[in-house]
Amino acid sequence: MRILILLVVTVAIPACKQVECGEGTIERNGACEPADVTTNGAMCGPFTVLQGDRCVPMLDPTVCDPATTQATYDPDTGVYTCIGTGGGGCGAQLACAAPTTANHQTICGQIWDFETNTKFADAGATGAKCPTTPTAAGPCSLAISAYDAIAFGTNPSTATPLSVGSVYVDDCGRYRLADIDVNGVAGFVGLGFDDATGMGPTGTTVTVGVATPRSSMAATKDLEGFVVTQATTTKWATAGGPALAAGIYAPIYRQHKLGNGDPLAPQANVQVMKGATMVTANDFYFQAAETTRGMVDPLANVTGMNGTALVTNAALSDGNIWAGAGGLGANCQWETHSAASLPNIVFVQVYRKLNTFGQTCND
Amino acid sequence: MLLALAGCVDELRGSNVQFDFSPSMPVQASAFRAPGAMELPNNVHFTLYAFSETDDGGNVIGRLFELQRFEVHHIVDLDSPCFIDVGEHVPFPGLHVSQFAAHMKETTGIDDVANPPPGASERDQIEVATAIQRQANVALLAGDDGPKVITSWTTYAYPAVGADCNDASGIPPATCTDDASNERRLAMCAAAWDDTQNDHLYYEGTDLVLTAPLDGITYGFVDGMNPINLAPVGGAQFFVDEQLTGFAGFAVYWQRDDAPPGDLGTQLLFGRPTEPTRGVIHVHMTSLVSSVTAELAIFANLDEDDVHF
Repeated sequence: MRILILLVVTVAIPACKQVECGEGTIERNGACEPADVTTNGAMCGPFTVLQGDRCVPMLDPTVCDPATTQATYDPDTGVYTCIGTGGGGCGAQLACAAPTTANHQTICGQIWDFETNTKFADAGATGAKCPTTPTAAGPCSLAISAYDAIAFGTNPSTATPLSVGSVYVDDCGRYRLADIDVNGVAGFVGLGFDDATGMGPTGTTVTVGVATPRSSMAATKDLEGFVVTQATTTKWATAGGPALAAGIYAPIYRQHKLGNGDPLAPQANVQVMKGATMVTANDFYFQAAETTRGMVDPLANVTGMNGTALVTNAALSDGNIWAGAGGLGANCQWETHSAASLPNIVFVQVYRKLNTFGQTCND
Repeated sequence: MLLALAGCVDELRGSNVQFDFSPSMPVQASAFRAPGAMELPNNVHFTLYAFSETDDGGNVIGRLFELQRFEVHHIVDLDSPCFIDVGEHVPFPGLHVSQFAAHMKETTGIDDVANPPPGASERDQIEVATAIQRQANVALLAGDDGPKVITSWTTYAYPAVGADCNDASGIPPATCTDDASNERRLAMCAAAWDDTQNDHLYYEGTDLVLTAPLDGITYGFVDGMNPINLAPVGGAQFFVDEQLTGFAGFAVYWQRDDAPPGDLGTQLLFGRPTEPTRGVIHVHMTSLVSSVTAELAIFANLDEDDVHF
């Protein structure tokens, strides 16, 4: 028997080159290279630290008193301002700080009386926060809830309110829903305004909804909320307008593109459009000269001075195609939105003007 | 004789950098119009730096190492002369997308899809309705609420736009929809994209496939929402050549494209690293000048990572 001897020879080859870079260099593609820019911390004074090419305070340069103020960011100036959380009267700005945790959103704004088109405030309001126990009338009689707007618009009876960190309402009708948990909310957050003592058409208001795009870790400011009394909806129906029982979608067309003028100015002579289709069987308008929203004119086919229409038979399934026709200057077009007329609910949507393709709208 | 050799393979010694920019991340304006509110000029870029600091006799010396340049754009630019339809599957190759619905109406003879002329075929009606919807979608994508995309960086610029449809010296204006203009626009844009100075880095997006631009590289998206279907979008990543352990911080600056070497520009984001998970560096980046934030995850030492890469 032949014995085969296998000779195994292992040749040791030096291992891969290991690079250890010295201080002040970086390992790039296996080689050590110097910095692209060098900065000098000698310029940094006491209590500051070098951060790139800047000296920044070791501590926050401004700390708002958490008991009385909120740090509120102004995207136009890049400046944080401490805004008081109480006092200052109804003319003072309401603090509306962005949440600091992901998937949370804060929404603030003013509640309006939809019919009179005035701020919904108590007589002699001072900006005092509403008491824990609801009052019989006025803004402090309200409850505000947040919803996934798509879920609510699809089926209000099965939609569950979103978790909210805190709800603030004052006697001026200003509100703030802080730290709304928008995790899982796909597109829009809806707010429902109703009586704290129970939802439904009676009391201070029928159920009123508004919506705004979901935006994590952001504060949505100046979202208009509304109250609509049952007397108002009855007045509409009596004058030939839509009945609340079937649900009312209320678009408000505004005269100016955001940033171009009074953001509350209404736009007359606008007809509600569902895509390219008029909805003449389902849209209602107010008397042409009326600046409030009381008297429906069943013969009108465009918005009057109040820029408002009432629409029935709108559904989310229509898609994001609701807009308007008319009332537009050169190079302007109306926003498009989804719409829903939900039984016993008035859903209000503000429509603003946009640039047309590649052009500038100066309205 | 069996000879066993211990080999040596040169692995990638760089790092994988993954970003989540907050929705307020600034976006560059179109090169073909003035910047709008909340927009940066077009001729700028962003740069990610690694930052180290050493104590030199009591004096802190900071060092910034450039890792990656990138740009942030609206996903489509209706003002770009080369925002066009390309490919065998499109009905009007070279047509500027802003003219798609109008040209489809003109071609089919259907001006009002809700009231089509007698004899209009169902196929043509569908084509017009689809074109109208596409136009609406494009407007949403190009709008302020449309997705922002993290893209490749270049200083390349397109050739000038012609004075009119007959000016063969430039790219035909968007409103020129005749076949000759479309053909010339297609050829000039394709040549621009193939230009050696461009090197396929000039970003030109399309609404047809959001992650496959007509030119340039898409690294990902700023966190936000697709306004068409309301789906969340976000997340971007780069592979860089640098080994990124042991740094004191990471910074994002934006600066003009023509800034001299060594000019950092404006610091947008800065954060100091933590390592909550083994092998992954996390940096929460904040801004001194705006509300923008970013979450940065770095997979450093890719040559030692036999799980993820």
